[in-house]
Formats: sequence, structure tokens, C-alpha cells
Amino acid sequence: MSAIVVPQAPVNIQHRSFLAETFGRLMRSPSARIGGVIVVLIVAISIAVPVFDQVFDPIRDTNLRARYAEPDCVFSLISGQVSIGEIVCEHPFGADKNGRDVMRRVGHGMYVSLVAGLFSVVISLTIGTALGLTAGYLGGNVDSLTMRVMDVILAFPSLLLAIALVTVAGPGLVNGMIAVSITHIPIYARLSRSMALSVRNMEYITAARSIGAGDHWIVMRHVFPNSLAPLIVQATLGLGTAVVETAALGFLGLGQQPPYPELGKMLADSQEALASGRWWVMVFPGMAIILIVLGFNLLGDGLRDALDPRLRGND
Amino acid sequence: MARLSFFKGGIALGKYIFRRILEALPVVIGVSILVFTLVRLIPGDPATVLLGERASPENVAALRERLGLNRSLPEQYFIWIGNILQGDLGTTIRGNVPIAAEIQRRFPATIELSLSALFLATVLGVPIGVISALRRNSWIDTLSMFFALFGVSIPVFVLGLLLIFLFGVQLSLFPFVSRLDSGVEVQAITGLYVIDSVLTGNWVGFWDALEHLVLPTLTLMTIPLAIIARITRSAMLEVLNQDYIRTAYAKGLPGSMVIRRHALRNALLPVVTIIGLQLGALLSGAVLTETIFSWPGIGKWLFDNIIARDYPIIQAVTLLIAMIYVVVNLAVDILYTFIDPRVRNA
Repeated sequence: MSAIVVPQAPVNIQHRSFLAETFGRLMRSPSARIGGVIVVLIVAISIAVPVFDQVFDPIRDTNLRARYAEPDCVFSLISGQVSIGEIVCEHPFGADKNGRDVMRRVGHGMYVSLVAGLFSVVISLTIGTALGLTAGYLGGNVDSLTMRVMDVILAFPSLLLAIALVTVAGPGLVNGMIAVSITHIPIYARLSRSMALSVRNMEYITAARSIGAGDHWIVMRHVFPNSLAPLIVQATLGLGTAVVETAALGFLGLGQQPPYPELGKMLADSQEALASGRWWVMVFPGMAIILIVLGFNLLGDGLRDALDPRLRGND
Repeated sequence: MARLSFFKGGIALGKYIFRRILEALPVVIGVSILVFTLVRLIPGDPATVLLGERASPENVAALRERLGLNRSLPEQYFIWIGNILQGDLGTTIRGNVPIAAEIQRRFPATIELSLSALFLATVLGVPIGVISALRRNSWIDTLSMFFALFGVSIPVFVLGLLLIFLFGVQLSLFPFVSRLDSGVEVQAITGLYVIDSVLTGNWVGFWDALEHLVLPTLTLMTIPLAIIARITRSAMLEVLNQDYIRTAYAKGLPGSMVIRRHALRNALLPVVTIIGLQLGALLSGAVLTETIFSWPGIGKWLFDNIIARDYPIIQAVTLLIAMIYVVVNLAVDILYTFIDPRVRNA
């Protein structure tokens, strides 16, 4: 019996893993770089906030003597009110109508927004992908029934359906998060279904089936990994949308309830201060939301360019 | 011969439109079932939920009778749908006013705002997209695409407040509350004050209505503008790479003609779809915009009644907007077949 000669892999071929290659591709896009930096910054702030919370309580922070205090620190220096020697940094972003520090509340609001956005994307991604893969892989009646239900949800503008759901379920951050995630399920379901359809008849699926693999195994090991890239892109972009929509619910009074800080609610409360020119109560929470959404949009755009199989090989 | 093929084409088109309407029907039914179910999910007796806690027992009994609450759920659904088809959307909890009449009164304000936003977004967005594509990677392209990305990232309620602060409070350039100054009146014909004031030759009213429209329109149009510009740019870039564009240039057509007749026409197809889809976003954006600017449309009305939990209003407005969305999407699909014959033959 002669030994079977196993061909050895050539030693000198440079082999980079999929992850390393994607990361390299990602870092070549300027928008992804900027988006990545913003996202890292937001995540860092959000992680730091609960830690600082042990020291500063954002709820029992009311100090009526500091009512509508103007931003000091850097801002008073820029506007020329103080010289560099006499700088104070008590309220760098000013204070609101209850004398609560705006910077601390914005930091806290960013944390709340990020967690809410993340949770609602995880919920809609999980349910949507499960439904879409099942529908696309099984086809037939399961497919048409699932997708008709998705069409019905898509027939509502998403914020409107979220408003209706929260009105019925009762206002609050958790209900708002769930409502937003329900309205986003069809996006992931459609995406993963189309991916499942496109790979269903591929030879490697037939091969897997011919060696006796079950449906569950095939979907989890072959169909799902192949639909991962577009789902990651969509989830990144969807995170921005989820943050905006939970903040919009907060703005309408349906999200996080006071006195706990939330960016949308802070903006809604800033309206009366705005009329008297107290811009800081509105500008800083507004900038925080824009920063979060812009960060994830930039990163999502960059990821799409790096991951989209249709664009691959063009550069 | 030509007539005959035209006739055949007509039949194919009719079949396609019929098929699309049939496909939309399950969605319409599904939407109505969902809206119907929502209110039934609230714990408690639906008649009490719909009339409020302080309703008199006689009123509750009368509504129970009218909604057929003693019958099965499917029967109740058909009674409800039957009422809606006859134009009966129920009455509000507070004040017991017929909802259909209230919607009729407030809807023109929403239409005026949404249409002016969509119009401006299209008129500005398409040229911006085309120019960006033609001058790809120039500073114009970079700048407009940066603003487009910024535009989709700035939430309606942040932008609205920023505009109020800058142009309303600091510069006092534009009013930011309601549709008209107190004291100014416009006789309602269409309900769109800008048009009505022109029709009645009321120039004071015209300028006042226009001034009030500026900030809410700017707020509402930003996201559609950004999306339309981005889609137009990418569609245009794709078309410009096609062989028939090279052919058109090769046979010596002037550049402006190639762009207008060959490139733009084909590039506009996806743009039409996107414009249609934006209407849904506009209608939900209108809830926020109208709230910020105290614009007396159905969005503001919905907001005022969310906290009061006036469920019949929430139910009716949700149903109405979803139905508009479905019908507009259907209309866009059908319009598409007139622009692009490939669709109906597919």
C-alpha cells in the first residue's frame, strides 16, 4: 500500500484571513475611519458614564441656584468673558431649568440612547434573520405567509407604528425599544430571505444535503454565514435609525420617563428655554444625537464598501 | 400592425395594473386587521377604552351595541370595517366629535407641508445628484455628498429646534408657530393656504402663509433631499458607465443631449421609486415637525392625543397614513410601467 500523497500548501503565498482583509479594506475608506473614531468615542463615553454615576447622581442633581447657568469653562473663554487665569469648570455645557448639569445629562443620555439602539437592533436582527432564513430556505406557504406579514408591517411608516404600539403598551424606554425593534424586523427578514434564496440552490448546499445534513444544520452552517455581510452593514446603519426613533419617542413623551436623562426628552424640554435664547439646553443634546447617528452612518457606509460582494474585486 | 401591437401592449399594461392592485389587497386587509387588533390589545372593555373612563353607562352600552361587542371578534372586525367604508371613523373620547370631520379639517395643513417639502427636495435633490455624478470626486461632489450624509444623520426634531433658534429667535427672520399670524385670515378653498390666498388675491395672506411655511418645510425636506441626491448620484454614475452612453458620444451627439436624453432618463427610474417611498417618511416626519412648529395638521393632532390616550384618534390617523402609504406605493409602481416598459413585460 503506497501512502497517499497529501499536497502541501505552497509556503510563500500570503494568506490573510477574511477578517484581516475586511479590516484592511475598511481602513482604506475615509468615511469608515471617521465613523470608527466617532463610534469608539461614543462607546467610551457610554462605558465611562455608569462608572461616574457612582459619584455624580444625574437624577438628584437639582441645584436651583445654578438654574440655567451658562456654559463656563471653554465656552466662557471663547466668548471672552473670562481670561485664562480665572477659568471655572463647574458646568462646561451649562445647566438646565432645574440647575442640573447639562454635560452630565448628555453623557448619560448618550449611554441610554446607545443601549436602547443596540438592544432594539439585536432584537429585530435576531427575529428578522430567523424569520427570513426560514422563509427563504423552506419556501412555499411558510414563505408567502411570513413575507405577507412583513409587508403589512412595512406598510406603516416605522415611527408611526412605533408610536401606535407604545401608546397601546404604555410609555417607557423598554416598551419604546421593543416597539422600534418590531417595526424594523421586516428589513432584516427581507434581506436574509433574499440571501437564503440566492444560496439555496448553490452546489455546496446540494452537496451538504447529499451527505445527510439536516435543514437546521444547513441553515446555520451554510446559509447564515453567507448572508452575514449585508446583515452586518444593515445592522450598523439600522443602529443609527433605532437611536433616532427611540429618541423621537422620548421627544414625544413616550420613551424614557423623567427625571431620568434621555436625549429626546431633553430636547423636548429645551423648547421653552430656547425662546429666551438659552441655546445650550438644546444644542448639546442635539449634537450628541447627531454624533451618534453620523458615526454609525459613516461606519455603515464604509462597511458596505468593504463587505459588499458585488463591489469586491473592483479595486 | 402598429395599432395591433399597441393594443396588445394596452392589454398587457391593464393586466399588470390589475395584478398589482390584487397584490396590494392582502396588505390593505392586513393593515386594517393590525390597526383593529391594536386597540383590542389594551386590557379592559373596548367600549370603555374607546369612550374613556368617565363615559356614562348609557354611552358605553350604545357603543357596545354599535361595535357589536357581544359578537365574535371576526364579526366585530367586519362591523368596524363596514363603518369605516361608510366614512364613519368613530368619535373622539374628549368632546365626542366625529373623527372623519376633524381629519378633513386638519389634513390640508399636513398636505401643504408634506408636498412643499417633497417638491423642494425633488427640485433641489435631482440636480445636485446629477451634478455630483458628472463632476465625480470634484469639490462640489465631495461637499454635496458630505451634506447629504449629514442630512440623513440629523433627526427632524434636532434640525427643527436648531432652525427655530437660529432663524426664529436669534435673527427673527421667520415665524415658527402655526400657519398664519393671528389677525391674518385666508379663505379656505383647497385648504392649502398658499394656493388659496393666490386664488382669492389675498397677498397679505399669501406672504404670511409662505413665511410660516419656510422653517417647517426646511425641517421636513432635509432627509428626503439628502436621500434623493444620493440615489440620483449613484443611479447616474451607473448609467454613465453603460455602453449606450459611449455609443451616444461616439456617434457625435453633443454632451448635454447625451446627458439629458440618454443618461438622465434612465437614471431617474430608481429616483421615482425613492421619491414615492419618501412620502411615508414625510408623513411620519410630519408628526414631529408639526409638533415642533405647532402646525395644525393631523400630525400635531395625533401628538396632542397620544398623551391623552384618545385611542379612536390614534387608530384612525394610523390607519389613514398607512393606507396613503400603500396607495402611493401602488401608484408609483403603476407609474413606473409608463416610464419603463421593461417592467410590465417582465
